[in-house]
Amino acid sequence: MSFLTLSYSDIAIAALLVAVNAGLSIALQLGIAKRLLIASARMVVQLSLVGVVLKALFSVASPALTAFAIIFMVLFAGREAMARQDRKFKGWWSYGMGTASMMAAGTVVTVFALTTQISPDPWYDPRYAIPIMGMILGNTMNGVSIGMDRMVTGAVQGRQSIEARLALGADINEATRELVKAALRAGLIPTINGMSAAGLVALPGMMTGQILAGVDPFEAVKYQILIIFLIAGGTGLGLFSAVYFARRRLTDSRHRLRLDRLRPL
Amino acid sequence: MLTIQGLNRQESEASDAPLLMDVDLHVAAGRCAVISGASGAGKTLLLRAIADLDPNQGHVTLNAKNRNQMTAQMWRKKLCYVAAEAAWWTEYAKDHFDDLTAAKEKGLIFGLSTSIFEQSISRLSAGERQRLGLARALLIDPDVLLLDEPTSALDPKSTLEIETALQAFMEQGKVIAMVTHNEAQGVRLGDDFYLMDGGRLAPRERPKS
Repeated sequence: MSFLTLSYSDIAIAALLVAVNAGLSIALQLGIAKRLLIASARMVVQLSLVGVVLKALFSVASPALTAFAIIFMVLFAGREAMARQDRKFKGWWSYGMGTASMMAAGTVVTVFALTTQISPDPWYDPRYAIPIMGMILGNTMNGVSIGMDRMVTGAVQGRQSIEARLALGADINEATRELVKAALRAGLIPTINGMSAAGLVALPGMMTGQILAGVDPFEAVKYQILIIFLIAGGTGLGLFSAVYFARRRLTDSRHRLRLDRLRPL
Repeated sequence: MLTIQGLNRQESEASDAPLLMDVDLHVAAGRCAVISGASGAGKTLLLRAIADLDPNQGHVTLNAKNRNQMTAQMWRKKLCYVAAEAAWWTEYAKDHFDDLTAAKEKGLIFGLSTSIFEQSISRLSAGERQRLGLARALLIDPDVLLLDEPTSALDPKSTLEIETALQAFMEQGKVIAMVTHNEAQGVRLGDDFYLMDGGRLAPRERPKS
């Protein structure tokens, strides 16, 4: 396996493209040149830090430090998933439900992959555990945030029809069935679309990275297929958990719709 | 008999701001309680609380049976709340009824043609939707109807048809609690009269017709 290493000047030359974009933004008065440059600088700093942290983690291969890194990633994913929701629950519920769902789904799927398919030694080897958990979390976060957002906004917008069914003696499962289905569908569609378009529209990032790093393309494809299945599994588990958590919090034991548990707009 | 004692409702779990305060209401079999009051006084909230659609506290019984002894679904089938504006959950009218034949028969009583059921809800007039909403409630055969402005979108002829159906409902020994701004209708249907003000309910005299 061989790959062409990059020098800092190679990266600086690529950065010229961002400078060209910024120049165009200024010339066309788009007003996003500053944001573009700040985002680029953030990306460089964040990824450099990640590189340093990963190098340190890989060298010690400690289960405690690996677990700590994963918890840190999950907490950030929870924050990001909550930030993407228009209507949030009062208190810590939105953050808690999203984070718990992603933690459970990501951990189950990552441990499953590490112990049965990839089988590194030790099984928690951070070189495998952290990137796999990261890819699963990134996608699960999308599914969870879309599903929860759809569930909550759907309950607010559909309040009258849900309560009309409750008033006629329906239980909360019947009254919210269509809403739950719509939320689950919305959360899963990006994953399904991603699988349908994989390789046709663009080569997936991980596979491209492996090929650039000198891995045989067919080996890279096998890894990519495995990862896509893991992502689909993680997204599904996290999404189901988050949507059903959200429905539980949106209702109560007397089969009432509890929109009073949402923060006011 | 519908009996409500000390019914209270707060704004939310986190707030003690009272919306309904110590409401007492007794409606005997075959009678209609008419509740009037200014907009925002708490009339709709009271009907919703009786139907247990919002969290509330108090002693609420139907024919001496406490609502806590029944599932919420069973309770709401016995005490059916009908909102001023009926809500729908699928596109076509017919899909809101389990027994379409019975629905069409009930619709005829309210002056609705059977073809209404084949139409999209969005094509129906406000009056047709309101009558369909009432027919839907009566089809679950409740013991109590909790009516919020039941004929607000109707012309005089349709209003009369609805009132006749509601009289027939009470003649079966069943109970109505009705919120209305239409005082003449209140006098035609009502037996007991109440005024809601600032979340408190007080009996009032029968208005002069």
